[in-house]
Amino acid sequence: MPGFFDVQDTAGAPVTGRSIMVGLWTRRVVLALFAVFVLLALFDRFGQQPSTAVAGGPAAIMRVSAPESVRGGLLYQVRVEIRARRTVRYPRLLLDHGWLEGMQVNSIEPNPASEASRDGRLVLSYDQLNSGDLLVIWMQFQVDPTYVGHRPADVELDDERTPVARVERSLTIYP
Amino acid sequence: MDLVLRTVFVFVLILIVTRAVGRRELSSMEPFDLILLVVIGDLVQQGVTQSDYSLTGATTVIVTMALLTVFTAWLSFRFARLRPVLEGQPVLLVADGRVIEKTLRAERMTVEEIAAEARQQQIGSLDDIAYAVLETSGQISFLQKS
Repeated sequence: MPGFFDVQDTAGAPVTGRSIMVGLWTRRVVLALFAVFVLLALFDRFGQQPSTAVAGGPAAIMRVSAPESVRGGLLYQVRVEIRARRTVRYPRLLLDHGWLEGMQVNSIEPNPASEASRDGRLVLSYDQLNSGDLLVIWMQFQVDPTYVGHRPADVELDDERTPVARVERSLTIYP
Repeated sequence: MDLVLRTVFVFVLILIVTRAVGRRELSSMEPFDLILLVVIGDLVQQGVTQSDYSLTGATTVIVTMALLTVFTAWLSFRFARLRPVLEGQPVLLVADGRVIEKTLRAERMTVEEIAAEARQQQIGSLDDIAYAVLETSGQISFLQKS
């Protein structure tokens, strides 16, 4: 019968010691690769444990806690803490396009007084911060599973248009 | 990281559950057992991946499960003392045509069940059996008197 499996084809090919060893070592290599993958996952290479980055200037110190890598479809949280060292009259939080591209913004708490765009970045405006004030902003995102890749996710704090602090980050999205 | 840890936890849990439930229950699939197995599978999926439908997450879980399976097989192969814990041991049910009641009770089996299994292997009477052994797979193997 055409295309039918002929047992004699395999019976005729002797399984030698060499082919057994090749098969064994192939399996071992594959298992070693699996182990590397699991180790990378254990060390959080594929998301989504948050890491914290800090930047500051004379006016304020900013702490950004967010995952550096996320997986498609999952929810994640970003926390931005701004501690004013002196009065910041017009606090503006600038988010790079990487925070929004292929992301669903579920919530930003507290809501900014206004939102705008500056050079492709999202600008969130908050009320005046006096010396010693602490502003904590909670953001909840969900990753669009079709958008994978690596993109910048910088966060900048401005006093109106004067840069106060800038955290340089990137975001990797795994499928 | 959490995915790997959840997978390890669930793997160990399944190992304990299957060892506790007993091999007979798992090898003889009644409709109820089959449905229960599907339900357990669904619950395991929910517990391990939760709301993670990503390809990376699925790969992590599958690869971790594969490694754990190989690891337990290696443990069982390498350390004979662990074998009964990981795989169980064959249990003698019938010797020289006589049913060993003690092991039957331990495995929650009846004489009728052994007789039914024997009939399926073309053995008409328990008297014809030299040995009946409940294997670690849950199957019963019969050695007939010559």
